[in-house]
Amino acid sequence: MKSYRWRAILATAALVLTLVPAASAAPQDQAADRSSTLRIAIGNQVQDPTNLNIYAPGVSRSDTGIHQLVYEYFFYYNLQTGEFIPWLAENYKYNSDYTALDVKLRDGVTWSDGQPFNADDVTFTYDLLKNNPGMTWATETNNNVDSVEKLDNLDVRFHLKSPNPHFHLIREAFPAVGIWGGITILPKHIWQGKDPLTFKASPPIGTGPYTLQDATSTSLTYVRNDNWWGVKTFGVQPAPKQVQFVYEGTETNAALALANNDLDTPNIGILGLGTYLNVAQRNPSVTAWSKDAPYAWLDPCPRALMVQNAHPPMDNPQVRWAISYAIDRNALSQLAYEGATVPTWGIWPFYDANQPFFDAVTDLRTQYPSDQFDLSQTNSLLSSAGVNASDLTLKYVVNAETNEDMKVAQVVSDQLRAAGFNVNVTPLTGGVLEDTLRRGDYDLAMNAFCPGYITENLELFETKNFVPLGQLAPWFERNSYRYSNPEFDSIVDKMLQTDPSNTAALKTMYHDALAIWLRDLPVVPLTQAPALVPFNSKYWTNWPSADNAWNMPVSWWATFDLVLTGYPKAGGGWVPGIKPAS
Amino acid sequence: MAGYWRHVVERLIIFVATVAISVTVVFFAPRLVPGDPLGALSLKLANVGGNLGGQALVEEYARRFGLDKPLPEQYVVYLRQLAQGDLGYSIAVFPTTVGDLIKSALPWTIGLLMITSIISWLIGSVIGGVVGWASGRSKALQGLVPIALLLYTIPYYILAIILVFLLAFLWPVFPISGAYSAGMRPAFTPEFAVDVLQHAALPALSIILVSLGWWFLSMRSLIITGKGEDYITWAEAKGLPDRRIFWAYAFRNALLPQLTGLALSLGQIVGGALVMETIFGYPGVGYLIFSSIKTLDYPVIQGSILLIVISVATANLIIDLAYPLIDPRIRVGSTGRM
Repeated sequence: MKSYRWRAILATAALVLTLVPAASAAPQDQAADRSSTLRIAIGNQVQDPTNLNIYAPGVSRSDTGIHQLVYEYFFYYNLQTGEFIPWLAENYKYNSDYTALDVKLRDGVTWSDGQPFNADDVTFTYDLLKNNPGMTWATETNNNVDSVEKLDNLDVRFHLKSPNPHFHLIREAFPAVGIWGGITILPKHIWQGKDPLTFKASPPIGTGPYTLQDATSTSLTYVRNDNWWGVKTFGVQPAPKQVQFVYEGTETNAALALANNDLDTPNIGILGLGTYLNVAQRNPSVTAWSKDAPYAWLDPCPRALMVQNAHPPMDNPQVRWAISYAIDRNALSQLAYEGATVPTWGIWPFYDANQPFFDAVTDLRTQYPSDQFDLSQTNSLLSSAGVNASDLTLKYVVNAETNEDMKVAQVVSDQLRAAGFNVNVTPLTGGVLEDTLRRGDYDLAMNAFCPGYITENLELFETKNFVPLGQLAPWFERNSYRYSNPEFDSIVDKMLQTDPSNTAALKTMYHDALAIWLRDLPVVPLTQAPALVPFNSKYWTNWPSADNAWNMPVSWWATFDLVLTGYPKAGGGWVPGIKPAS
Repeated sequence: MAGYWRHVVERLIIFVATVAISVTVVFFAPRLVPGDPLGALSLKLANVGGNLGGQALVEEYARRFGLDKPLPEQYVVYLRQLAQGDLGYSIAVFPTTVGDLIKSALPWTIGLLMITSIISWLIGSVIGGVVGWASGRSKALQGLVPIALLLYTIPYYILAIILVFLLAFLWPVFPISGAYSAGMRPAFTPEFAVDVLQHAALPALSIILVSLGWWFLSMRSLIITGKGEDYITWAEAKGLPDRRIFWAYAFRNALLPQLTGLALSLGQIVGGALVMETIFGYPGVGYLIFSSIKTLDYPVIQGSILLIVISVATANLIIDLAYPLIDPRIRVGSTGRM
């Protein structure tokens, strides 16, 4: 009998020995010295880590880190402060009728392989985009740019298809990045002769302060390039010697890693608010944008409920206002977003840089309270429009793949039902969703309103984007709700023809446009868009936050480059990037 | 022997038919799902910016992938490619080929699941056998039965999360996720091997613990059933030592159904373990299939599902062919019937 017991014990011992090889060694990644390494969690595995072609539609710029660390842009637009920061370019200048834009490239910029960055790279990239419609944003570029001419080694001239003083803000056509990413200038000497759709560009050669050391489907490691051109030009260097983008798996894993100081920041969408609060309680080094609710930084694309203006009776502004009054946005923020966002009256992010414009329309916001919940208003508007809510059955189309959309649909449809409307929630995905929304086959659908710039977000509502029901609208927020008002168009056209730096003139026109927009309320504003981004200051400090709002706290945007390096102030001096804690 | 060859031919026909039907099903089934891969790609681009050029881009890729052609024509092209062993390009991560995607995910899946399946099978079978043999004789060993029952019934992901919490957070002896440390280059060095083992420990432990319960319980019941058989009584009557009767008579006979189970589970491992791969951020085929279904990446769905079908069918074929040779009780005699 004894022998059986011994066998069982031996077998158990064998199990333990098999499973615990070198268990005493450090559990943390051996290659990462945390005091010199920045670790960022990504939301997905990188399916093909050998493909780092920034123009391939399937390559994730956010998860791979290529547009944050490897490539750089002419200008960076700090949406938080409103600064337009020259980087690879020194300045830009339009001609008198805004049909051409001259850009002076910065002298001394080099690619990471030592080759100089110059006008040839710029003209090469635009020629490539012209000839290959399969490249990301090639069509947007070609809609705006006729050609790019090399004036000399460091001077290029963009010939535009039509006069446009806002061209330098169109990231899909010009290498200046505000929100997320933009057109990227490629090294001619690497890409020449390659098929831009099948070339994998790995390791990627860029002008950025880091070079790729190693890429697998669950982690990408970048090392600081000590020969980066910025060291000579600006006399600075980003603090982390190494930056890793790591796929941690579930939300729980990312939370544990953050609590354990194995992680400095997760990308958007990985941690929910409840999880973040739990982690912050365990680890006081972990903070988010604001110390108190809503905790999240506001993403530049506010959410609004698109209402199909072409479907009677929603063609009547009174009915759209009735819907707006039926929505309790505070409850929506609490129920669908766990309190991580705030109600919005418009479709512009609440950034300091936008505040002068908001101040210019205070009177209109009092006259048209587009964030107010008031069922008695709903009822009186409906009865004056001669509409009985219970006779209406509204088709609410929702993106079934997005948690946020599903949660919002649930809350908003409940609120509308409480106001007497019948609502049919129709979850769709992929191509069917795209087709349905663009053909306008919906009564209601929630959407993000990007890019969130003052004039550009008004442009979305112009008649030039209007197509009859059943035909494909240019895109969802680009008038799939079929709004048309020539008076509004002419104001916005004037705004588009005004230099964006002429704030005084723009403010007046913004007021005029909003007098119409708010009266008509083509879409119903819901909430600001939350981006919950926790930061860990155990190893790295000076993260942007509400108290120190020097930049946007987004590790998945190209602008994150400047969170690491800092940037030159307009009047001289340097706004520093993140710093080592010790 | 003629009967055996007939059996071989029958099984081969079934194998070929299974694969042939699957080839067609994996082509048409994803295409019956509403939506299409380029719409998904277009949506993905729209999520990050203006997508005015979506249409031109979609048309360009539809042309490249032949998705603008009628379905029967696409099917013929697919068959022709497949006949040449070409699984095509992934749509979602073009220009990567399906073959490359599978090639990079498969070693991790096979490495982890094959080793853990065999370890859990070995340990579960041996301990289950010993416990079954000692049933009624050792209370201590019987104490293992409820533990095995508990392990067998506990949901896999719960065990995995508990293990992560205990062994990667509270008492951090293992890394939380990944297959090896970020920044480490795969190489045949002792450091890398140790790193891989460390990373594999938690996923492996969770798989082994859960499947161990099943192998333990099934082996134990097989041994207990076998104990009453005549050949055991005969061996005992011959005065053979207890140890010999256990290993050479009881254990060996009970091993056959266990071996079938092992072969079947090995056939299935190429499908990966999605939950494990997600919880531990481990690269593998499960995640590949999951993300390809999410983006309706037809070629990747086709390639990876076909891989599973072929390996399960192959495992079945091997068992079918080997069984009559291993087990004399299964007769494929002159009657030609099994």
